[in-house]
Amino acid sequence: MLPTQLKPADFAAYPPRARAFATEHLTILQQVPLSLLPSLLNEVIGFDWKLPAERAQIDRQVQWLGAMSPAQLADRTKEFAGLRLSADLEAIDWVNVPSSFLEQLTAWLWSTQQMDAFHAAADSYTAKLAEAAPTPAPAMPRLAIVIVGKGVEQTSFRPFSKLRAHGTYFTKIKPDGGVDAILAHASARAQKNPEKAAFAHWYVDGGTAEPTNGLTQISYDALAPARSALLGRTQQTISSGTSGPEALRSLLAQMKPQDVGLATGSDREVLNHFQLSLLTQGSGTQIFSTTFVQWAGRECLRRAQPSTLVLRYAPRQEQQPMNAMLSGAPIEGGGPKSDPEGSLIDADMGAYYTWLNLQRLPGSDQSRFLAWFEGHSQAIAIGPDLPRGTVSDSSLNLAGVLRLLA
Amino acid sequence: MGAKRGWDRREFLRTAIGAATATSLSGFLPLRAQQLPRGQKAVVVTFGGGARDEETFAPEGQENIPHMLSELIPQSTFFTQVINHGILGHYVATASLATGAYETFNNFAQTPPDNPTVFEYFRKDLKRPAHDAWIVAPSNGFNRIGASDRRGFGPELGAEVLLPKQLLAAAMGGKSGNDYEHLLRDNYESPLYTSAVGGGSGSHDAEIEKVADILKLSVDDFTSHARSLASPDELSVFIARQLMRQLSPSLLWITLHDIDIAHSGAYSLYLDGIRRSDRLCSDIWKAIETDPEYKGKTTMFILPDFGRDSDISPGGNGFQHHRTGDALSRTTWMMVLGPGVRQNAVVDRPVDSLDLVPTLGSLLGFSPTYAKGSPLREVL
Repeated sequence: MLPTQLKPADFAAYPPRARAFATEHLTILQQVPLSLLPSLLNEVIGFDWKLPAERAQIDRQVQWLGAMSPAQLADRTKEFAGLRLSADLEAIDWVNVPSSFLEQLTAWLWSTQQMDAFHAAADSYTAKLAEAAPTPAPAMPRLAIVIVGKGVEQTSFRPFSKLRAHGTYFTKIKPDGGVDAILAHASARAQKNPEKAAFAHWYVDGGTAEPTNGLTQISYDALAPARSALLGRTQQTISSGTSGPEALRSLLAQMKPQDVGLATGSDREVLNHFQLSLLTQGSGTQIFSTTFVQWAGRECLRRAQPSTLVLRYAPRQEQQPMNAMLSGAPIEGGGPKSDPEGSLIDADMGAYYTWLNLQRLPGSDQSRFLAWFEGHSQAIAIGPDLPRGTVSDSSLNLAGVLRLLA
Repeated sequence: MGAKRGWDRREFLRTAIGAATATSLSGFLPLRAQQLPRGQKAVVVTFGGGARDEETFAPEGQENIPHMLSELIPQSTFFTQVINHGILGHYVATASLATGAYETFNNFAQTPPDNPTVFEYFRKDLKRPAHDAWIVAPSNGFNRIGASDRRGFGPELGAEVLLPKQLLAAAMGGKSGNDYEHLLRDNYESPLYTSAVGGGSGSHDAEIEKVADILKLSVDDFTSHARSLASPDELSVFIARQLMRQLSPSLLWITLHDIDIAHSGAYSLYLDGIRRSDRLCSDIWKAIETDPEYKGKTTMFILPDFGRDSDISPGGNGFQHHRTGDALSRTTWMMVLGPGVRQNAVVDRPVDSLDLVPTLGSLLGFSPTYAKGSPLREVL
């Protein structure tokens, strides 16, 4: 089927809000090239469970397309229209399973050496969209805080080497009460504007989360039953011997929160879909808590575009045979061992990636960033009013550093 | 961007080791293309699966590759820009390196390359026996890489493919073995998918027994040694050395893969993989230099199959994957060592990863008819 053949009945299997959205904008969707439309539908089909920022972004994109004449729309999407597709791709049920289409499209683009052209088309389209329908600046300057190194007592590792050039590196932080101070600060930001706080202030913990007030909270430990259920289904699929990596990825993409024991129909429905996506779309998030925190931070910034984000890393399990890591079974008695030193290195890179992702959001010139080596005296603070590439030996606690960033 | 990276590498190497610039010597004559020494051998090591400049040759990454920097580069001609224009999946990319043509099959399918492999050209043109060309490959997914199904070529002219993990699994005889399971990791590219590493059944078991016999490895010796190894790549190199001792193949291809643990997102484990690969490359060269069958007549090529995504590419997640196709993920390097190869030299011009097979063809004396690249004059 081609986009021009779309009709309202094609969206009958969509969830209510997604169906209404697609039907309302049918004439626009009919004009979008096949090499682009399933990417858009892949967002629309999950509309009912999207985060507010994502819904606004989908809406902005469709409004932008809808404001054009057919000729203008064709011009804005001509790079996509110029890609060569196959009859097999057209035959895929890309309306109801856009993720499967995207899997096949990816393989097709690689095999026909059109991947670079696709990237160029995507970059061009995104730039035009950003220019014509920019994402609004945040209500308050964004703040991202990354806490690394839990469980490390002594190390020769020098943290934050990739970040130091961008801010002030503190060497004499007083660590006592640091985690509490950071979470209290994040909660206070959420309380400032509670009516707009839905999914605007986040706390992700790689271990067990501390109690907080007003923050959207995710923790690796709280998701243990879901992770276990997911890995169980994965192992079951693999041992059936009927599917390879690509089929497994498609299976994961189609899973629902209730498949892994996450509740639906509650006020946590949107959050549970988000959490499930972290486990099904992230690579390694199911087995390493450090990967989970890094990926959760990335997805949180990309999708929720929050005002406040706190990421706290915890020691991940030591590397074991993949089968043991997937099953959760210990290699020997006594449970999986943890690797605090390796986790510090993982988290240090994760902190750098969080800062990079923060820079990609609107209002980045005003955003604030703090990374702290938990329990230790090193921290890096980056903000518009802080000098770059500077070392400070001021003796401050975390609350004091946060005041400098305010 | 690629040009800048090449410049950075060149400048670093000159500073670090005082290397000469081979590009300025573009008029030099072939050193030995006219008259090949008898018994010429080649060993190809893919530094896999994929490493970036930041963690290797860039200043901040040099601490991860001490052996290559201090031992191998001073003896090598180093190509600073090797570009891979093909599909960035490990099996299909390694197959492309081995055929000299960009293969386009599904990376996860157990399918032979479409184009003849370097092993087929080598054996056909030089009339070499089957045991003279071997591949040591990391996982089940690579078991068809030894030969194409092209008419006039095919498995009867291909290389023997050795999958050390499969061999170990067979040696374990289906027993569970916590002592060995760390050597059986498979398929990092899709971390949740771990295909079974088993001995297979029937004729495949017999084949593995035959290989074990050829390598003169008793089950006890093999499993005992395997227990002391830290990773699948160490197992691969152990097996490769056994091959060198027992059969002295003229064309040996070793595919390292530990680095690909990066797909799990753990940066520290990715760095561990690079450090291990660095050490293993040095070990392989030492094995060449101390084995009379190889010393003085072996050219070794070390190159990653491709890089990994850049930190700044918004579509990726940095080191974790190689999905964006950005310049960093496509640009790697190659090191060539051996008799007649200029030492301490840097080649800064961009070359293609497809150039490997034609270079091997010129070196060993076969004609890779279907390969698309060009021989690298700087090492011939």
